[in-house]
Amino acid sequence: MNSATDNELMRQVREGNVAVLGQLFERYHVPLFNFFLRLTWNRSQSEDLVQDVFFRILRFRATYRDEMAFSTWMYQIARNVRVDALRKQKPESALDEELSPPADARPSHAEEFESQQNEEFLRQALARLPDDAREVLILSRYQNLKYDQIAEMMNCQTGTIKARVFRAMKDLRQIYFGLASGRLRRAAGEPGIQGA
Amino acid sequence: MNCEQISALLPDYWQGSLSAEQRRTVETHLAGCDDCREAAALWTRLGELPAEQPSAQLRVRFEAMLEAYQHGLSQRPAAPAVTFSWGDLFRSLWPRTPSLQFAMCTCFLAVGVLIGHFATASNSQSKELAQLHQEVAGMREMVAVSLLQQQSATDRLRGVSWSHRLARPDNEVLSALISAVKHDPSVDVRLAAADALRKYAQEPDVRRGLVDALNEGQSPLVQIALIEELTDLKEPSTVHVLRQLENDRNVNEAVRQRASWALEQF
Repeated sequence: MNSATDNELMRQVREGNVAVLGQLFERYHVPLFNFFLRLTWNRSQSEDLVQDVFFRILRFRATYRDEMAFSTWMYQIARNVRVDALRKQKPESALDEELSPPADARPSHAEEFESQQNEEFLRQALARLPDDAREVLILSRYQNLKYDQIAEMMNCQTGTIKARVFRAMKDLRQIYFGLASGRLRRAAGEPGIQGA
Repeated sequence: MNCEQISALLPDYWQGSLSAEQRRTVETHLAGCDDCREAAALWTRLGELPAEQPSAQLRVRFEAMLEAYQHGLSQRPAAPAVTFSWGDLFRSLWPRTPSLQFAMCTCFLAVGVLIGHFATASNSQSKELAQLHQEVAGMREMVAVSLLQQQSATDRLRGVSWSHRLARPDNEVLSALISAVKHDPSVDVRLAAADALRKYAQEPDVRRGLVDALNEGQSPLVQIALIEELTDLKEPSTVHVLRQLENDRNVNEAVRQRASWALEQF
């Protein structure tokens, strides 16, 4: 097993041994794919964006600085890649259908069904968060980044990031319970609040 | 502690970076506060959302791109590794050729005079200022073109970065950039010049130059960058070249794949 740190590998890439980028790809292509997927809800676009990140790492390898953690630098590139992609396209309007399990694949067992539905509500709640709140939550919850790394990436104070994460969780909770209680009301035959 | 005070600790509690004592404080609060407990439970559930796997195609595309890049690197003379520092950046922007050093000094002097004029100028001097401004712009263009013609790839890269400072470069600068995209022996210079030209893509000559460069391109990496640039610009004359690339079996596989992708975008 190769135990070289990310930073050591990136230093080698910077110095011209670009084949080593393959090892960084192995470590990061799945987390990066999920980072983009949770932001865009679109599988093929997320794959394009991952490819673009590694392409930019090669092109800008000379600008990598030793004092910055590789993952911080990489996610900084990933954020720029996404901003550029957003400029080129119209905003995604709804959750990509391919992320929702097809109806016939859903389990018949009631408990499993409920657990899958809660998972679905959580996904939908995440998708309904404002873009910047969702991004900070994804970076801190899924990408193994510490708050000070995110702060360095976004060029702000660590305290600001913590406050944003806290606010994002509060908003997420509100949206999530709104969705879940809507389902309970529907199950009890009460009218929903939609269109009220 | 109330919710507001605990809110400063909760994010660290979620990431598991609190001291034992702080953790106990948070847990005592959570035991008596439904809102904060629910938020903490939701944080845990977020972590349980399964990760998705990308398609196998992603790895294939990455390997093709890496191969294309390595191919591009092997076509140019080895350059020393560059590490970033502000000192190096400053030194790198300073030309080694005495004539260029003189041109840059004159340029800085002109900028200084311009600032001085701005500080004291009255309305009647606006014509002179405009003229001076034009002279400074002309000087910058001269520096950019001179740098683009230097022997060393580092100097030519500096020429490309000088061209970024021009509000509207004249035809000589644009021609030098187009020529760099087409013929520069360094892949890095070709890529940088292609990037720089994106800013001036509204010029028909620039678009034509980029399409020609794609047609003549010898480095797969530059071709891929050009395909992406021209696809963004939705330049119709690219379609013909893309079809040729897609069908030419002698063309690098990654370039052919990108050409097919681009044709779908058109």
